[in-house]
Amino acid sequence: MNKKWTTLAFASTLILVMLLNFITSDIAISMTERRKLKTFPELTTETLISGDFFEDFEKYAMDQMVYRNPLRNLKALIEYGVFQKYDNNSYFITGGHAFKMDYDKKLQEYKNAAAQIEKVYDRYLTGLKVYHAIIPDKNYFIRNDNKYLFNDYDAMIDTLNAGIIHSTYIDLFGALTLDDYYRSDLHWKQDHLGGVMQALESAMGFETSFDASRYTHETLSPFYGAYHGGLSGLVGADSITYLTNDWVKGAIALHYTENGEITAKDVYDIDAFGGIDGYDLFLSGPTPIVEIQNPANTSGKSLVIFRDSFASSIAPLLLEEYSTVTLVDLRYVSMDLIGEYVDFDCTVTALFITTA
Amino acid sequence: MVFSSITFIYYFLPLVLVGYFLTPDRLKNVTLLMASLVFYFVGEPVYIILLLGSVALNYIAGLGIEKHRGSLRAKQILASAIAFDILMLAIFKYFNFFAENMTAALSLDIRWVKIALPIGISFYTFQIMSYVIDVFRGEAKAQKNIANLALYVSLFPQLIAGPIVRYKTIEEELSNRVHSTENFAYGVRRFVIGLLKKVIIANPLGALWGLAKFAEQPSVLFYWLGAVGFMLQIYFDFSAYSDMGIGLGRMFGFHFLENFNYPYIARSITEFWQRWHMSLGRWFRDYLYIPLGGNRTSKLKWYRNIGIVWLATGIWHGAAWNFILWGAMFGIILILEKLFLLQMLKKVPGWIGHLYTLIVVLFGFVLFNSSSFTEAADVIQGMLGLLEIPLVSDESIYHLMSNKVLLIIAIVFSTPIVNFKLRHSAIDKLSRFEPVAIVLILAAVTGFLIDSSFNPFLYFRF
Repeated sequence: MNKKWTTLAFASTLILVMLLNFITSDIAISMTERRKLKTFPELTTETLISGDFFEDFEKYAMDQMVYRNPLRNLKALIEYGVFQKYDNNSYFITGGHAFKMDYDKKLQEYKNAAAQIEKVYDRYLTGLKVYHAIIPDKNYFIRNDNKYLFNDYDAMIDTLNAGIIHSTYIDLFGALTLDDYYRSDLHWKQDHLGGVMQALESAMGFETSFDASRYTHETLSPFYGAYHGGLSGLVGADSITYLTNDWVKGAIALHYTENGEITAKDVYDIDAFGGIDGYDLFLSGPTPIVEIQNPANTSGKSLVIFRDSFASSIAPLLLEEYSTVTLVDLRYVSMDLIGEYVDFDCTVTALFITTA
Repeated sequence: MVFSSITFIYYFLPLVLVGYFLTPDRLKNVTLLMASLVFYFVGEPVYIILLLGSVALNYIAGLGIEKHRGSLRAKQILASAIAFDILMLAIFKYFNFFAENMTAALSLDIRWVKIALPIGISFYTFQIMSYVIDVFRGEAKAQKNIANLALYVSLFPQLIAGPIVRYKTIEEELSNRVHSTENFAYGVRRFVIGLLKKVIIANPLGALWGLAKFAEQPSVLFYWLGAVGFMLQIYFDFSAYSDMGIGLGRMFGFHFLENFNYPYIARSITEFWQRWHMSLGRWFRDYLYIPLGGNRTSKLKWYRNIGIVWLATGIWHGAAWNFILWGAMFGIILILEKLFLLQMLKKVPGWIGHLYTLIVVLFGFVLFNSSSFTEAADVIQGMLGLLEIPLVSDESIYHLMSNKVLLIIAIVFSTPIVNFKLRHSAIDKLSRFEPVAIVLILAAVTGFLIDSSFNPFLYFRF
């Protein structure tokens, strides 16, 4: 009797899944994995003979498998629950937060980063007020957990600070805790940046003082952070709370694209939140140069932030102090071209933001 | 196409099963042949011609041998067929290796055209050679139906990675086999266990070698972890394919012989090779070792025969010097065992024999898995603490601890301990849950398979 049930269970599972795979519509984007899923491969004589069709079909079949997310979740549960593995796809959970294993950073990378900052200084910033801040990587806050592997943060910070000579260092490490970061993502939360704003105000001599109560707190959800997919949903989705007010709403973000075009957008790109990376809500995601103009601030003060993705969410909070905040992403723009888009006159203050 | 793929499990197999069992009995072989050719075409769209050509030639040879049985003509036909089969293997598997070494040895300035290795050529060539030899020896009748012979050679459950099925093993079943729920359920069990072994045990174990090889913090422990990981991986990987092959064969009514019998519990290398890839061992025994005279000859020739068989075994595994050296190493050890080691091992406690076997096999697999002598030497030196590296590193401890349960499970299930410990009554009780377990294992395997396509877009950082 049992043999019949075994046969039935096996055959019916295979046939049922096959039928479900045939009848269910393909999904274009996996929001939880933040990527486009494979579409049905091109079927031609050439792709058939070369074998490319079958290779691509397997990738398509994996991506479009019914119950893909629950099955990936089951895999992660087996890795953690049965095999007691410390990580899943190099991602791990501790204290309810998701982390990505990162322990092989070379100090040379930080020497290079510092050298690049010095080159920018020599080229554009001589005589201006220049500051640099290091944003602690999320893993920094659990670095004493002996179970996992970590970079040598002290050495990384020392290397950066030793290499950056013409700049005043702003220490943000005391202004942040793990709770100031999203559970499923590497980034900090904009609505938790009070301490960071205070540190900047104090070091850079702001005339204004950040007060979160002057902003409306808007929340969008679900936000599937960059680490959510790696943990196959074992850590829940976040929500993004962003701070806005009339100043921020009245500001215009001018995006300078690679082909020289300028696109004007809102500071908060609500449509981008629905894209692959919800964090693109802030200034529409990665762009070489963005200039935020705040007509409500008539101080004429200008801030240029040499940044990575973290700066996108703090920039709107700086509009109270500056008429213009320009964000330059050195990963996407050549140093020679910066001067064509950014005017480094005496009203400019420069802030380098890096992550370690 | 591999068994452990979504395409196979959820597209090919259900379609073939439905098609096969809806087909009338007299046409079942045709359905299975078509399925097998599609299976091969998916992996080798072009070289399927080579497979079919080999079938056609050996089919004619089989008929010719039977027609001229007992005469010189039969011998000539056999020799021609074998020469053709070996030539195909030589061209498609060994030409690149031969050309590269000749070019290097003679300092020639020739750019050879690389020949791609057709999938499964080593397996199906040995199978078809067994057919013509069995026919010549009178151990099997020549197959009159070319479709049946093509089915024997291309039968998808064993086409790509064995087990090597001798013609006479399934000669009867090619034309007359039993389809039953019992057979099917047994096949399902073996297939699903094989999937579990391959996808959930072997694949993660395989990652350890790569981690050790490219470690940020290399250490003696890491080299051992990588080597042990590979040793367990290759067992679970290869035996899983055999399980799946045997299981799939049984679903269609074929009884293939076992290919593995807990090789890591062997107490000597002689015993290890009686438990590891048994179908290859049987093939070499029946078609090379015994025809050479086996052990019924002078001691010198006996050792020569062992040497030839093990060089051939090494070469069969791959066209590279490390495989040849690997085969030669086992040949020498087996000769030493015949000379005196086996006698010595009988006099010492059993655990010494186990330890000796495991260590030899472990270092053998390091050689087997290395892409060059330099890599093998590097790993072996690392394991022996001859490199300037620490005994342990944080990275190696992390991966050891993170994989400890997997390693323990793999070690335990590479032995028959669980089977011995579970009483029959317990097995009967557990088997009640088999249908549920089958579905759960399929779900878990699918989860592991599709998660390998995880390729996240991460917001770039400085």
